[in-house]
Amino acid sequence: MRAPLSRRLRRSPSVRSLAALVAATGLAAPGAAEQLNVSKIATGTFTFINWTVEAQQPLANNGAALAYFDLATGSIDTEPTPYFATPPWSALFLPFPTLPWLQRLTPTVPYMDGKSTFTYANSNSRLARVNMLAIPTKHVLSESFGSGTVAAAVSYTVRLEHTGSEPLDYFVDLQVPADTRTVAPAYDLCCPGDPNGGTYTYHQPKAAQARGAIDLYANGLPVWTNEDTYLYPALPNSSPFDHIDFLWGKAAGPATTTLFLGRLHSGDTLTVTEIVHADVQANAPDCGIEGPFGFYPNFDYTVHCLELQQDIQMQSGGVAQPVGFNVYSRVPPAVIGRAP
Amino acid sequence: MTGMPGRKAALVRAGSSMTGTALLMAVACSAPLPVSELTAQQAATVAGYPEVSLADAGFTTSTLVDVAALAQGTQTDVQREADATAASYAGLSLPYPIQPPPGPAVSAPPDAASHIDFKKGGDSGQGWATTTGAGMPFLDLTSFGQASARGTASWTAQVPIGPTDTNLYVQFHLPAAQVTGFTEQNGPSVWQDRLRAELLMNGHPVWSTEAQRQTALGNPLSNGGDNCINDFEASDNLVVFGPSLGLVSDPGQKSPPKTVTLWMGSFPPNQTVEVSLIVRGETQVERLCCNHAAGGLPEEFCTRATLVLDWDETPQPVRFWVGPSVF
Repeated sequence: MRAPLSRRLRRSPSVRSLAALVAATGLAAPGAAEQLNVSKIATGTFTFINWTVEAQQPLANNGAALAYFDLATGSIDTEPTPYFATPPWSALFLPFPTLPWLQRLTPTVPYMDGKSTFTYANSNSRLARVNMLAIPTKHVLSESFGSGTVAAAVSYTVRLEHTGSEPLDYFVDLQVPADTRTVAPAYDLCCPGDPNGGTYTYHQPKAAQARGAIDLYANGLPVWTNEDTYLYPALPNSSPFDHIDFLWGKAAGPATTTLFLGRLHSGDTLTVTEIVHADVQANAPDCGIEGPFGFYPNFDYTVHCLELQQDIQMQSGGVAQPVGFNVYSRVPPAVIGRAP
Repeated sequence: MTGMPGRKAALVRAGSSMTGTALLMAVACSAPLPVSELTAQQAATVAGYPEVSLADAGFTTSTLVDVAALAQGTQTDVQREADATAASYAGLSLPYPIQPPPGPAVSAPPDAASHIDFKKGGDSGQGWATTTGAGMPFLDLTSFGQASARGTASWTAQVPIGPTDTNLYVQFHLPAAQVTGFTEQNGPSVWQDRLRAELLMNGHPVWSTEAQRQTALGNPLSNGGDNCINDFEASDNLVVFGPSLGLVSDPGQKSPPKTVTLWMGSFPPNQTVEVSLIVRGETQVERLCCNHAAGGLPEEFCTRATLVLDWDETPQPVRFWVGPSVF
């Protein structure tokens, strides 16, 4: 089932309220619980199952050897290279998943002009964060304030080999992440003490894009995808609030989707990988100021630049499971009662 | 409180202050990612290092095509091979004979006549995906009317690291790409394409590029269910994340083919590194084709979305080397 194409140039009227400045947007309606049979993609063979019958089958916990690999990367364009977590650099699969934590940021620095002090409304001009330690919600987050290019990503891979003599049916419960984007144009706010609350004047960026992408792969092929991309259209008559959204695949969460990967026999292997991307990139050097505050000549001003944030919120897959999903197996109905 | 001293100067300095005097804060539990794209000179040096053959790396290929079309349902084709070409094909349209009958593109790109004629096929989706035994990806995806086509061409290798020289280098080739479409005025619709290529180390993208293109229509009155009124394409928007393949705003322009050579870092001795390339494409058109009477006969008018990663026969598109540091 494909997602509706609801991407269209959206124009927002000019507004003069502070509430309109920060538009935190849930990118899609939370998806309902869903069951997907992806056995053809995962194993090459379509295996029919009756979901109701299958749900009553006993879990099989000892039929496979499991190994895990996870990695987080983050980059900001003020640094020469991306960073990764957790060091040291190694390709070794572990017997358990880990919880990488990574943060890269460039702080904003207040400055003086004469005796006036200008302080940025955001403490960072760029922020890349992958926090799999957070409880209960983990974050893959990229944020820019003004101009900047920021990328954050995390991956969890499970490599399993079916070692049991009898076949087992393998499933993934995907904890579909929520995906939140914040876009707040740069603005001037003059005379905040006025009876009408002051006057806002918004600034257009030269360019701004963001993306949240969540993908699940089985043996190198995609079995579940969600992507939501934001584009500031930058047309000659664009309002600072205009945006175009590209939607792909399934709805973002929070939700749980169960995927049937297929029936594995002794010696079969299967690799399941979840990759989450959060990216923002903006060319928005035109910031605005709010003020003055204080008394002559020591005025204070607050600087408001374009704020762009993509935040993907992941959930634990369970005890000793990767963040975002868990893999398990059940005894196929036909196998029950079979002689050893 | 009426003065606003130095306002214009302040705005200028607002930009320069953040980029010029910023402090960078490092966190102890992360480290610089030891993956970087090599220069042509460095790549030439690496080409003299001991090479790991695809066979010794347990090279496998896989492909997926998944299409959906109005009233035709969905169709999925998957293939996986070891050290051989994997090729998938799927197509859905109104029934009509296509000559030659389309099938997987194993040794050559599909014949032009194998592509669906939307005047006969109406709302339709069609796709080919191939990964050659040498690791060259190929995608040919088209949606007409209310349809979508997804294709994936990927390969995976298990590259052994030796006991002494532990630097891994990977080279892969991406053919010329076109991410395009056409808005039919007598069957207007928004359409969109995406192309993503990612080089993975143990499942994590250490090199990633994505291009998305989408159109917007110009007549806001056409947002309803009747899409057969005249509308027009108001804008064509290209978004790129990661290193650019060279696609430009003109949807008729292809990107040039690209060979990428990466240093993947130095690994502990005797490890095995899983290296994969996943190239994915998707095309979607939102609204169904319009059936207008033309000269007394019904005729389909369809908006189209197309994504092509060219058939490319550059030799040795994938190579692995394990050797000393090139830096």
